[in-house]
Amino acid sequence: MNDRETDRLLVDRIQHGDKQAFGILVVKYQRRLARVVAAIIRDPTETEEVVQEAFIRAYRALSGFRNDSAFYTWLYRIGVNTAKNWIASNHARLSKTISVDEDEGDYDDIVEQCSDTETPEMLLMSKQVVETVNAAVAELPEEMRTAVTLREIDGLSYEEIAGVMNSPVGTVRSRIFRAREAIAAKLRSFGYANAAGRG
Amino acid sequence: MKQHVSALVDGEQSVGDLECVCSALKRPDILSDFADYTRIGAALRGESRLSFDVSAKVMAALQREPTVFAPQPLSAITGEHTCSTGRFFLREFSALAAASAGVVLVAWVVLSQTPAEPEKQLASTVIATPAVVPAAEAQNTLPQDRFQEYVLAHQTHSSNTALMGGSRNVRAVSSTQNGR
Repeated sequence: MNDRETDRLLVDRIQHGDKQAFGILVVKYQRRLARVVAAIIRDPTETEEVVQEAFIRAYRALSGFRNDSAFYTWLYRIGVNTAKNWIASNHARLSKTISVDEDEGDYDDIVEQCSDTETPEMLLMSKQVVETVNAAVAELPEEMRTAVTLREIDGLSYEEIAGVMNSPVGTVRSRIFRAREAIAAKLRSFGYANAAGRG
Repeated sequence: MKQHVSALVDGEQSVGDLECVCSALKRPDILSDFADYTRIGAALRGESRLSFDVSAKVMAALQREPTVFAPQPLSAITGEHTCSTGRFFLREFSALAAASAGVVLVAWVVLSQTPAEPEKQLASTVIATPAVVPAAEAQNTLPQDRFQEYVLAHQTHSSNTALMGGSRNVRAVSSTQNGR
């Protein structure tokens, strides 16, 4: 199963009343969507509200989603339209916007055009998380470091990593999981991990 | 369970595991693990907005939204591959059956319009003809034979015979029998 197939199954679940499954898609795509929205509206303080609105619109429209396109492509269009609507209702800021096409292919270009879409606090937080993660990866055993790097940076599938490392797919799966757990433990110890579900 | 969550981040979980993982992700601590794993990936790729998280707010807002229910496509109900193959054969068989039914109907209509009745009447007339013909009626025999010849000669121009060749042969046999 690949990412798109996973999304399709999650959408199926939501379309059959599993509202919680939408939370998985929110967690998965919120940062990507935030970057696109921030690049359009150019207002870091309003990005959160617009992204939230985009996800709610997506949920309301999900009954009409037929899996003809990838879920993120569909979500991307909703995010762009929500951002444009926000601009339309905030005419004074129109001169600050950049042009955005409906095609997801322009996504990277949009984000590259905008480096000032984060507040200083966001930038500092991101920097600290990156440093913590990189330090944690450096401390991992070589086989775990290689597995998680091939997956997260090079984007290889478990099967491809298994081929590269000459290991069974199950071993690759286990190594990536243990690497993530070790990194997450480090993030938790520095207070950078997600605290929403931990009392 | 966490290992399945890790596999879900990569889209590498099996279809069977997805049910189990989705149920587990309803627990906030498991959902937090999922969020941490996705953030670690984003950090390794050098992405920005690593502290951005609207999931709690979105899910709180969705509590006020009506639950989505969408009509399920047939492929999703019965399994895409087997069902799509089955539906292909069902569709093909239906088309074949409809075509066959049409051919049978047309054939039945055409055959029901063929002049079987006139031949039957002619044959019954021939059979019913008495072996001994009275002298008075004998004079009418010759014109009747000549009438038969006339009919045979012109039956190709008849408008009520759909199967000309077949009708001609039937009449020829009848005529021969009559002559005998």
